[in-house]
Amino acid sequence: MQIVSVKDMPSEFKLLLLKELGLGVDEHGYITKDGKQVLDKYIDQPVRTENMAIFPGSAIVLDDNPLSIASYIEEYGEV
Amino acid sequence: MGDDPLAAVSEGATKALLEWSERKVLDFAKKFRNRELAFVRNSDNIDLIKEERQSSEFSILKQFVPKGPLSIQVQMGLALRQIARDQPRTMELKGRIQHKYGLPGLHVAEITQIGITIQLLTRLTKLYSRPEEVTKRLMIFFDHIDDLVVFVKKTDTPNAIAKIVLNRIESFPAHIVILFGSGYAQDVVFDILKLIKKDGRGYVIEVLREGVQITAFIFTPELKARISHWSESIEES
Repeated sequence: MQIVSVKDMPSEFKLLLLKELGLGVDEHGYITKDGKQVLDKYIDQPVRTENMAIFPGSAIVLDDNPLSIASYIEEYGEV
Repeated sequence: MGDDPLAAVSEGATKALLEWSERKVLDFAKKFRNRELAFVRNSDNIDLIKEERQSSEFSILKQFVPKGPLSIQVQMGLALRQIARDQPRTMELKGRIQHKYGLPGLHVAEITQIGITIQLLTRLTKLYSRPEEVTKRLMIFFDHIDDLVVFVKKTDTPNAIAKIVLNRIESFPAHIVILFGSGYAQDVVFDILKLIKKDGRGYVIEVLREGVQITAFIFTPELKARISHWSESIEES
């Protein structure tokens, strides 16, 4: 699986990408789905666009940190 | 580019815009839906996790640590070891581990970080021939980690710690206690071990010294018969 860094992606393209994936962003910069903030299911915290990681599997949105990424790989397998 | 900071910022922003395009983003989205790619902020964290999962240490540990929370805690210990020189990143990760798994979970990560988990596993595989039994004993140990791993401080009183160790080694089913000391605390660990050695019960003690840190494994004598070799006894050290 190809891993794409979005660190340098301009914000308008991030918004476009999120829209394509069925996601949005609220006024505080948190990623939303159906108008509600998306929580990183491994750390139970909302995810900001500047620190987002999105993995396949119904667009699983995570905070980009070692704990969440290791938890994802543990559950879904190597990426 | 010259010395004009505004020009530099402008040039950087232009370059970023040129590297990205609507078409490229739409293509990424399509590939994502086909499960061909994933997005991360930057590759630091995913590279860190991939590296530790491919390490020889994790390949051994994963044979005995079942998938799930304990496996994650062990992996976080290996990750902590890799980022140890980056204090802010280390503190952030420790905070996340503690928030998710509590202090015992953080302690599992920390004993893995300093190499105790793999050393314990090495000894358990000498003690128990069946892998299932090794896993069971390791799980018992992790379940009681706050009682069975004693981090000795230089201000600790050897007599008091020795009593605690003897009490715990008998009362917990793992029948193993680990003492860890670093720097000046090493001398205190040795004083504690001398007291335990004097006990008539005949506890088995194995000592590992690495740099300025000492790790001592203390077993009940009933386990002694299972062991064919000790790498270093307390008398030799």
